[in-house]
Formats: sequence, structure tokens, C-alpha cells
Amino acid sequence: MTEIDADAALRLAALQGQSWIDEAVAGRIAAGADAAVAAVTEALANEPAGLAACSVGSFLATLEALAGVER
Amino acid sequence: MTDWTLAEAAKAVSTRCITSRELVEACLDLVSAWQPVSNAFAAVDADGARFAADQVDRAVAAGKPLGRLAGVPLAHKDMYFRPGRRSAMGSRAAPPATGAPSTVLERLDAESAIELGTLNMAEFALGPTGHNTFLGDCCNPWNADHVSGGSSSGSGAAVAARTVFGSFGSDSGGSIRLPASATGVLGLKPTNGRVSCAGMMPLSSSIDVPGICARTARDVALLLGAVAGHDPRDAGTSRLPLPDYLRALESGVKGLRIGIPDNFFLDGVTSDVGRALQASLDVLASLGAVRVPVRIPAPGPLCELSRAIVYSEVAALHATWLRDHFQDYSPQVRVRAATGFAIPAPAYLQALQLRPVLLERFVRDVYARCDVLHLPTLEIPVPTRVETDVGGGEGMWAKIARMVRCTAPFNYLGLPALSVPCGFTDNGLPTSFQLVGRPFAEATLLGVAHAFESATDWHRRAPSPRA
Repeated sequence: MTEIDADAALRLAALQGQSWIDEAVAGRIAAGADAAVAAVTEALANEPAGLAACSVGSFLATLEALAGVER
Repeated sequence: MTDWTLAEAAKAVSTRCITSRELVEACLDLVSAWQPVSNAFAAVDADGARFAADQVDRAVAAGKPLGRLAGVPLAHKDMYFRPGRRSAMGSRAAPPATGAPSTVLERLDAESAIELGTLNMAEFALGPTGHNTFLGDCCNPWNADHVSGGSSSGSGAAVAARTVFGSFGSDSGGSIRLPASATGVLGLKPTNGRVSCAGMMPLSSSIDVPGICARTARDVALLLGAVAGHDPRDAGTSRLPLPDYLRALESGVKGLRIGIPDNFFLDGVTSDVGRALQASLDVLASLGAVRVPVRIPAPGPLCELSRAIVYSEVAALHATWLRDHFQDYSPQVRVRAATGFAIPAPAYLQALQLRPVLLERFVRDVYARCDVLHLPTLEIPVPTRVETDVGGGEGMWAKIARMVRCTAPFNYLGLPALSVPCGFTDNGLPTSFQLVGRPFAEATLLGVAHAFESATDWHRRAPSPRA
């Protein structure tokens, strides 16, 4: 799998107007972003049905539906 | 009187055993003693606190009805907006806060609580240690060489030092539970949607919740009861009815199933943290709780899934300020705030879309077997400020990552989590266990903590400014 590397982070940041980011900072940003994206990929791999049935707006409703009866 | 619990202090004021003014002066004296040591306060408003205390005392003398927290000094993380007051948010770069006043503060005002000042915090709430380049680090009151925990660093330190009786911070990755654990007090991260975020500095609006630091389960229950519930100004708050948190404290733990993870969450625990965790389980078992092993479904990615959301939302929020004022951010915080620029939008959206799926699976698999989960808040002893600071060497990043390993997963899942002090590690710093419940099960968590407190005295231990 292709990693997010410092060069990619530098280009993406520049596209978004963040010209202050240098190579050293880009390297650290890349490491953090790469780990996050890898986790998403890993979690998605465990969902053979995909995400078509889910919507972002259902999280509070899901929490409420899963609330139990307090002791 | 500063050793009293919040509940005891509130009763003393309402029954005229003591005036609110006397309470405020006692707290201010302690703030003077502690501030050079722990630097918990960003700003102290002594005149404002005295004025408010005098108003409460006049009302008490006149027999007027007052709120449940009347006359009790509190202080909160400097990220709750109040009209006419600038919230610095731990930063030099923060523009003046605009927008809605904080619902949490308004509800505390309605209970006649006193605000002693605003508390130190990690810059823009971006950090789990309590370092702050601009305000100076918040230091652990048990040993100033050690971190206070963050990002609600002043909340833990101020409550532990008995300078205030309770505090509101926030928790988007562990930011109330970590300082609570590091300083030996309780820290509650409520279910997402239980407490309004209106008028609170956003870090990551999908993940943020207000959090509570206090010295006992009863005190947390009092504070939660004062602020919880639907808020028309925050569409993300639940309309589910509120339980009686105080009444639920007496439920006991007889027959309660305490889930002990047999994967992931105990893998990195040091021996001294492990001993304290085991001892706390023995206490709960002696009170009638039943221990059951529980396998956690797919815990590995949860921390990073949370970061995928947090980093993306932080970058979006800070994009303009970073572009125009990057030099006003400290170097570490600058990097954290910018990480999201390199996370592709589909990955962020997928992390959001996975949340209800993974939450349903977690609750179904875990809470079929237990009533609450019991695990570490912080799997290592509280580290030093030097080893977790810039220039802390090779192990710095790994140590910082370990600090949130047991807390951030529950931010992603939106579940309620309570850190409860349960001893000290070999380096003399406090440690704790963390209880995690089903959605909106704060009352159950508080009941377990209250039962634990009835059989132990960790919650009564206090640091000394002369130590």
C-alpha cells in the first residue's frame, strides 16, 4: 500500500495555502496522517458489506438506541 | 474547609454553617500557595468571585431559594465562552471568541456556583500532557517534575490541590480522564450528546464533549446533574430523559458484572499500574461485583480512527489561522493542527461512517457479557515533563502515544468513561482505573465509583504545596 510521505504532505499542504510547512514538519504530518488512513483501511477491510447502509447523521440515534436501562 | 467535598461545601453554605465568602477566601489562599508550584490557573478573578460570593450570602441570609451549587468555588478550562471575557484557549494566537455563550456556564450560574478564575490548558486543547509554551506548563501537584496530564491540565491540578471543588474541562481523546488520573481525582467523559457543547471552544465537533473533574462520585453526579440534558443551541444533544444521578449512587455493585478485557487494553500495563488495577478489582469483588473476561472486538484501529476525525476537523478549523499566524502556534501544536491537511477527505468520511457500525458491534459484543468495562486510564506511571517535551528524545512520541491508548478509543465510540483514583505507582504519582459503560450509562459508572469510595480512601488523599 502506498504511504503518505513527506513530499505528498508538503504538496497537499501547499495546495491548501499552508506554505509555512517545511520538509521536517511535512515528515511528521505524513507519519500522523498515514497512521490514520491505515486505520481506516484496516477497519474497512473488516466490513465486507461496505458502508452503504450507514450515514454520518445516525451516530446520536445509534447511541440513543443502544442506551440500556440504568441500575 | 477546602478538604470538604463539593457536596459538603454546598450543604455548609446553604445551612449557614459557613459563608460563601469564607469559602472563597480559603480557596484563594490555597491558590496563592499552589500557583507557583502547579500553575493550574490561567487567570484568577478574585474580585469577581468575592462579589458573587457576597451575592449568594445575601440571598442565603434573606432566605431566598438558591441552586444546588450555591456559593461553591469552581473553575474551568479556559475554553468556555462568557460574554465580555476573552477565552485565551491556552494560546497566543486565539482571536476573540464570538458566538453563543457557554450553556455549561449558564447552567452552573443558574445553580449559583462561583467561578474563581480560568484554568490552564494545552494550547487549543491539542495535547495530552499539560505542556504550554505560552502560559507555562501546568505541573502535577504531587510532583512538579511530572506532567499534570492534558489537555484539561488545570482542571485536574486545581481540583487535586483543593483550590476549587470541581471543574469542567473537555475530552476529545482523554483530556479530562488523563489529568484526573495523573492528579488523583475523578474525571468523567460523558456520552456524546449528554452535555451541550454550545459556547465551548471546538477542537473536533464530531468528537468533543465537556468533561468533569471532581473529588468524589457524588460531586461528579452533582455537577453532571446541573448541566446535562438537551440544549436547543446544540442540535447534537440528546432528548433522552436524565436519570437521578444522586439517587443512582446508592445502587451498589452486588451482582454487577465487571468486564475485564482479555485483549489490547491490558497489554501495555506496567506492573505497578497492574497491581493497583488488580487491587481495585478485589475491592469491587468484595462488595459483590462479579468479574468476567471480555474480548474487545477489533480494538486496534480505534485510536487512529479517532485521530482521522480529530485531525481532519482540527485542520479545517485552524486552516485560516495557521495560514496567517502559524508563528503564533507553538511548534508541536502547529504540527498536530496541520496533520489533517494530509488526510484525504474520503478517509475522514469513512472514519465517520464506520462509527455507528463499530459502536453497535462494540456494545453488542461487550455489554452482552458485562455491565461495565474496567481497564486502565493511563497504562504507565505518570511521566515527567522532560521526557514528554520537545527534545525528550527517541521515546517521547511513543510515550505520548501510550498516554491516550486506553482513552481515545472511547472518544471514537462516543461512550461514557469515568476515571477513578485507585492508588499510587512506584514513582509516587497517582494512578486510576477507568470504567466504560453503554451509551448514557453515566449513573451506573458513578454508582460503581461511589461503592468503591465507600471501601477505600484514595479519593481523600491530597498533595501538599510544601511537598
